[in-house]
Amino acid sequence: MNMDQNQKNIILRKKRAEVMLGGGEKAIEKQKASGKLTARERIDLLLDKDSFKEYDLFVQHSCRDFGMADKVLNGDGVVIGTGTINGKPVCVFAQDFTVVGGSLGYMHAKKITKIQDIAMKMRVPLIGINDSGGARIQEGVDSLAGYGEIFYRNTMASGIIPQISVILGPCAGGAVYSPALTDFVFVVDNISKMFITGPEVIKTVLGEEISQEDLGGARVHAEITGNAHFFAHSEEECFLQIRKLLSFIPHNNNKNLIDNNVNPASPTANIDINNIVPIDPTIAYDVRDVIKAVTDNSDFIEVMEKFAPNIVVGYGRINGTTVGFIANQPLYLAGVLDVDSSDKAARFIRYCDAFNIPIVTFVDLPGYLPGVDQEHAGVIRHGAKVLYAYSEATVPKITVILRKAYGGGYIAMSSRHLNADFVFAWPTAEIAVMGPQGAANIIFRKEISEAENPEEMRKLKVEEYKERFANPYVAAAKGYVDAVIEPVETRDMLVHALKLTENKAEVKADRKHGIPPF
Amino acid sequence: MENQNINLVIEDSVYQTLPTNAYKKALKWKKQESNKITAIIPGTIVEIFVKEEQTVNEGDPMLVIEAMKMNNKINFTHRGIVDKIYVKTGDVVAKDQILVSLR
Repeated sequence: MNMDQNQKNIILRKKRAEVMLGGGEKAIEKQKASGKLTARERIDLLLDKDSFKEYDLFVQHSCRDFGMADKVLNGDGVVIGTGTINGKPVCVFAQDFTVVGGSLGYMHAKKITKIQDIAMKMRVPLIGINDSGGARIQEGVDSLAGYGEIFYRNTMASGIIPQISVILGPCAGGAVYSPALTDFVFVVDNISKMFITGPEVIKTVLGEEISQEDLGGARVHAEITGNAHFFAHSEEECFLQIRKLLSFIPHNNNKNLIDNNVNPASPTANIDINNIVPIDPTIAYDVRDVIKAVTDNSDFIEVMEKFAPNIVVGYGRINGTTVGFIANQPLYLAGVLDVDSSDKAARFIRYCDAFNIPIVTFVDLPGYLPGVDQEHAGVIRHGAKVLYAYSEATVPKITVILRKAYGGGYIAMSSRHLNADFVFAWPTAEIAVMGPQGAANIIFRKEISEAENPEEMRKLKVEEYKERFANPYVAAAKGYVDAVIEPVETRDMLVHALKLTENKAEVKADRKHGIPPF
Repeated sequence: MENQNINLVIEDSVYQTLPTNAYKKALKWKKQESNKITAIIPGTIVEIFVKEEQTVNEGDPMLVIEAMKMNNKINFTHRGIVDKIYVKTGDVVAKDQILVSLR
């Protein structure tokens, strides 16, 4: 008997429906009970409505050991496909925890590497949703091969397409290294769990008892380890964050790609840029107000908001063009550079450079954080990353010195000497080898100690030093600062500098690659 | 918990600013007491190679701790005379528990 097209279609629909049930009703119920959405629900929420096209739906695992041959694992525990976000194409995979805990077997990995290859070939962003118990032990070394092939592709795609990892469940052991190799890691409170060795192993080996949440929960990675770049309270919020990020960043590293630019708009925040920064350099303020005072619609998407908050990094637009902002944050630790903030800034700079995003740096820092823990944690090595990243970057680099710029901190923060394209300073800028107190204590040590009233003399000398050196004019006199500007002139200057640097050409020496201090 | 301002001193200037989590968690540095040798992992003492008053050199075997089904041989990291042995064979020791002191 010959079937007609309709009947064939009906069979396909039935087959699809079966596979799309993943691990079955019970497993889906369990997934929901643990506060999580299913893989396909997640994709639907993330992508533009009805834009998802799924591939490899009928892929089956190839394991023949341990009685696996007879087992059917729908989709082999992962969903892959393409769709659009804000109308632009993206590639996506989502591990399906309802199918044997989203465990990674070889065909599961093959599906992921297929979508990685498509993303790379088509030069579109890749978003990976991780929710997996780890390696599928029955598949042995094949499972390890799968991981390795994913990591390799993550590395090869680095700096060519944006790679986003979303941790929506467990992601433990070797599996953590795919997210770690990607550009942006998104975590959700109470749902994300990431660690190399779990609480059980830590308890047996070290006798230390710790919960999964305390060891590698969302807050831990957003605040302490710096492994996560975005923190959300719900999956829905997380997907909105991803959509917003992808509206700001270019979708590949093609220099001529300008489709992330939008119509220019004025800042909207009710902020008087003249009155954000207190004159007294020891008083804190929120540097994000300065950013909001210059960006289109005062819109700013902050990356790694909770980690090393003494430096602020993120994206905003100036006159329609996406810009990467890096700003010392006096609100925290006086805005110092330390191990964590250096690492955070350096990575962000390299991301901007790879994807042709101009960098605007706002400077207000007293230098590096003093302390044994900082020295022993390698602040020399980590601090060097900032120098390296700024020096190496060939994208437009525009620096605005808001207030303090002392010593090594001044040099590191995209100074003229590291080849910044333009360096502007506000009248409140203090560009000096060190802060007035410290400098006066050294330079006038003799006068102070020999004075009848040393405290009076110290005050006098600090004032004297402030008067002469704690200003932007010494640096301006040497051409290290291109222009001293009023705060209200900042946006105008940035708009112009960005226009001017649009076709900036810089010749790089021929080398395989440099050797940054990591 | 409310994050409260601290006075951060850098090059004699006092900055009023909020501490970060990492700053609050930073451990105060303490000089290591190199004469007190402590357990780096919890486990069971299966063998002790030295006696009190014995002179030992860097690299000499001290004892064996069994942990995670592995016999971990612990060696002396510097020269000295064994002052006191705090454990005996069969003892279960916790991490950081003192094992042997030198003088």
